[in-house]
Amino acid sequence: MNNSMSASKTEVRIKRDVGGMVCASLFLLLGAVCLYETTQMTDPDSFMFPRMVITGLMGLSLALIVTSVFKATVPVAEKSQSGAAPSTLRRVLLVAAMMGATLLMPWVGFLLSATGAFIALMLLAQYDPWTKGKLLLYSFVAVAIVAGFYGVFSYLLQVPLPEGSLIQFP
Amino acid sequence: MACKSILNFIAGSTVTVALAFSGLAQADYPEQSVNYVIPFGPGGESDITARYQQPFFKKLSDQDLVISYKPGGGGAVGWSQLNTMKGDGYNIMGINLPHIVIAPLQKDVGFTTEDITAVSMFHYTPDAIVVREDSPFQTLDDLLLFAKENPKRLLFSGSGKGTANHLAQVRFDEMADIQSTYVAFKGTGDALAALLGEQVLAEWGYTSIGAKHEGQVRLLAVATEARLPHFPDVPTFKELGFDLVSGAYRGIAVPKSTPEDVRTQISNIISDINSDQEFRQRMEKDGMVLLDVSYEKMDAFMQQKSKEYIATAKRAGLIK
Amino acid sequence: MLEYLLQALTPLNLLLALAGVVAGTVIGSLPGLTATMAVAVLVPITFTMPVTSALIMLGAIYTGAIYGGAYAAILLNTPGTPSAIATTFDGYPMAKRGDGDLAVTLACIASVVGGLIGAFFLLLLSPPLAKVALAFGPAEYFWLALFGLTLIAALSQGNLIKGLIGGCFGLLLACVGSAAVSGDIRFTFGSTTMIGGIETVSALIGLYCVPVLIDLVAVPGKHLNVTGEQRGYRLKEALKISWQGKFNLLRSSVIGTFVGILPGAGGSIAGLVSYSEARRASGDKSRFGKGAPEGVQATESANNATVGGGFVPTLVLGIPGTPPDAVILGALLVHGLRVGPDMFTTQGSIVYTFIFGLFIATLLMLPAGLLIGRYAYRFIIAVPKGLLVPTVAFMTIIGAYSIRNNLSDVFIMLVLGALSWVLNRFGFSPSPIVLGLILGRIAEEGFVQSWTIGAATENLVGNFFGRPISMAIIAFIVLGLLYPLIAKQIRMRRLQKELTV
Repeated sequence: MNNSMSASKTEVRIKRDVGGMVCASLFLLLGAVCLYETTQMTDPDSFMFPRMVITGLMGLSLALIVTSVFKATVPVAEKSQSGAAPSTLRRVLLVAAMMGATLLMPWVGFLLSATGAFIALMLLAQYDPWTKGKLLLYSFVAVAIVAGFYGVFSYLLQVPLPEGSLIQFP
Repeated sequence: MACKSILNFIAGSTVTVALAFSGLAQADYPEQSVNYVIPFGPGGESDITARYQQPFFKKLSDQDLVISYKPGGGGAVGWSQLNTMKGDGYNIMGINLPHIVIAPLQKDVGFTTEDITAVSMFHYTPDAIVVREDSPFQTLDDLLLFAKENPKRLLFSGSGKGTANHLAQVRFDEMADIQSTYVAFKGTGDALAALLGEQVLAEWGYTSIGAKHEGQVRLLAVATEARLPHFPDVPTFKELGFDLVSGAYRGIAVPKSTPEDVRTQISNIISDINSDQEFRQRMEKDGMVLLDVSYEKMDAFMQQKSKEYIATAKRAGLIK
Repeated sequence: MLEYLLQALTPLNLLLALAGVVAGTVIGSLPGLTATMAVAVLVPITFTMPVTSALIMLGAIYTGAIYGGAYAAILLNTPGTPSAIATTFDGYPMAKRGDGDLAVTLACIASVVGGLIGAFFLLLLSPPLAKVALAFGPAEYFWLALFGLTLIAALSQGNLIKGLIGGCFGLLLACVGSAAVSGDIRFTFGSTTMIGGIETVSALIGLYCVPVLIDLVAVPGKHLNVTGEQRGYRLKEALKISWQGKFNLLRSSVIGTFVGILPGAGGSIAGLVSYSEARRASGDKSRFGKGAPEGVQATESANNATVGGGFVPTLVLGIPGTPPDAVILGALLVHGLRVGPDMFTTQGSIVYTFIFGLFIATLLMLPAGLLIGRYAYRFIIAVPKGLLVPTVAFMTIIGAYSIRNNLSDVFIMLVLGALSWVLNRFGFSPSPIVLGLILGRIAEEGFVQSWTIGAATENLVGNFFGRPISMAIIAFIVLGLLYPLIAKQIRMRRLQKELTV
């Protein structure tokens, strides 16, 4: 996101809420697609409410786009406690790791994929350098937590966690 | 020539040995606890009947029946995952009619009726017209009179579109030549609340509602072959001239990959539970009627039921 | 009556009450494990017990679970159970400010007060309250849902249009899957993942917790900055604030009880409605959403009051007031118990002993809850990010899966999480989306059912607008929307007067 206007520039530029407008346009698109879906429905009870909601969604999105064109806005800069710039890479990797684990679960089973995600996230969230002691302690805690939760959910709560089709463990 | 007879002998003995082994397997089933997946949430009627079966299963087979839930989509989520489960006989799933017949025909729900391998249909809760205890309708005729004089104003609450009671309402409207209005609620609890709160005039529900809420509601008629022992004063639709015998059916299905003999085994255990006097008493006290549709009779049963349901659903506009 | 109280005080029942409250609190605090699940899992254990003890234990678990949801709500911005959604509004800002321990203690006290008031109504006023519950028809539910939706205006301080868009998006999400009113399957676009619809709890975790994780991973430094010494429970402080907010607590508990009475409306709605009212009644609205203790008090007392309130229709009518009540009702049936209006007379010993047991369990929640809360707080504060992030992420995955034993829910949780983070970046807060998701189903059912009834009786307008309770709710909605404008006008007029004088 752009930062506020820099003082050195002499021209005054209106910073528009581009992000908001893009989101609103996407909502507009979503609304249109869903509206089309409702035409496939035969029972009026089915599409009555969704059509009202979609109309509201599309109308409001349009209103947002129009008003954003004329309104200047100061985007909120991200505050961070340590002053460092937030790492987009780590963010994306977090989501990717969790998503990957979920997608792998039917093949590899719950325990392996969740442990993999755990380790990946542990590495992502760690900013201080790794010492031998820390590595040992963290690995131990990781195993304890994963095993503990697995045990509680699988045996105590009798939740049938996914079993892998390719690899079965335990 | 000798080779042929030797081959025959080998084939014959192999078959015999195989049969012997499968016989052994039959005798030993079940050897561990059986997973009973309910495709609805806890607390519902499918859950309750499963819990009724649990102790009798243990008594008959000495193994635990472990109940777990896979709710969503009115059962669709569970049924669409049925064939991904292991077909070793230790995974069974509850099934409901008319859901498994109607749902796949409405839209892509992730399974077709043929995907469901039913091994037993062990009970049904008959449809019934339920009214408040203090309702002016004393007999079915009162209701019909009102309906004929006030088309569309006879409001029925029901547990949802496409459910057994909805199909019953459609069929009955046709049989009695009346026009009533079905107001769909989310489940029998909400439908009953609407009835008691006088939002509607009557409810298309089940005999189980009459059994559980005696004193608050009355049944005007039940959709069974003969009067129920628990409701000796309630006439059947048949008696009153309407050939309506229907309800919400419950049964057990297994993954497609389950071998034939295991299917029969499971069917037998469920039938045995049904024969237990104590179990029968419990179920009948709740207004349920026990059935004896075992695996052998399943195909014919499903065919007949499917035909009925599809015809009614088409008339109700649920499917094209 | 006294003999029932004594029956509730037997060592077995006391033990069960305590064990139930502790188990419930721990289970409720884990995101993804709801009160319904906690009760459902422990129901089989109760089959070996006498009915009264079983009821006491289940009620205790239920109470504890509703309270336990506050921990994750306050410390991780994730409602541990849906009933704690509104607790995140002010709980998390308090935690970020360093007042997390105070918030947790306040939540405990408020939960106890709410639970006691709910149980009190259950004890004395069940039959008339049940009649009130029945008077709520589809139209009333629709207007009530709409009333809840007006909270969007309060929650989207920055930009009303964005808040409303979020709300509409949430309403649309609520329509995905099989519709109760029509039996149709909508908006799945051919995918079997979406047939079950968007499950509320996994959506909550996705919309609230995943963005927190995404941000935690992005920068070094601790999760919650707590400066200074350990201040213990801050009990004195919390008690003082609770006494100051006694009207808030009372009002919220009553609201919670009444919402609990309505079948189909549970802790989440109670929390939202009482939060809205607390905000409206307070002198300084702008403090809400930034860490106002009154916000936490209002929501936590309301959601625990739904426990007692929910048992009213459950015991009197046999219709479950909240989802955990459905499970408990099922358990009662298996025990062979018949519920109904004469339950209080014919089975008085069971019912009254149970209600007294509920009182006791709620009281036991104070010491138990404070203790557990302290450890939860210490844990979250002390654990380094390197372990906190993977643990919470792991919990959300296993939790989201366990709700319906369905991997699709985990997937939806992650997608909504990423989406929520992006939308939040551009000014769309997740709370209106959640409101739409939760209230959408109630609003739609109420609307379509009212429409069906109105069309059949040819009294459409009367059915929607003419019913007394509906009119009262509509008045509240109009008042709520217009009041800020009117107040502004009055203030402007007053300012003008002062200037001209």
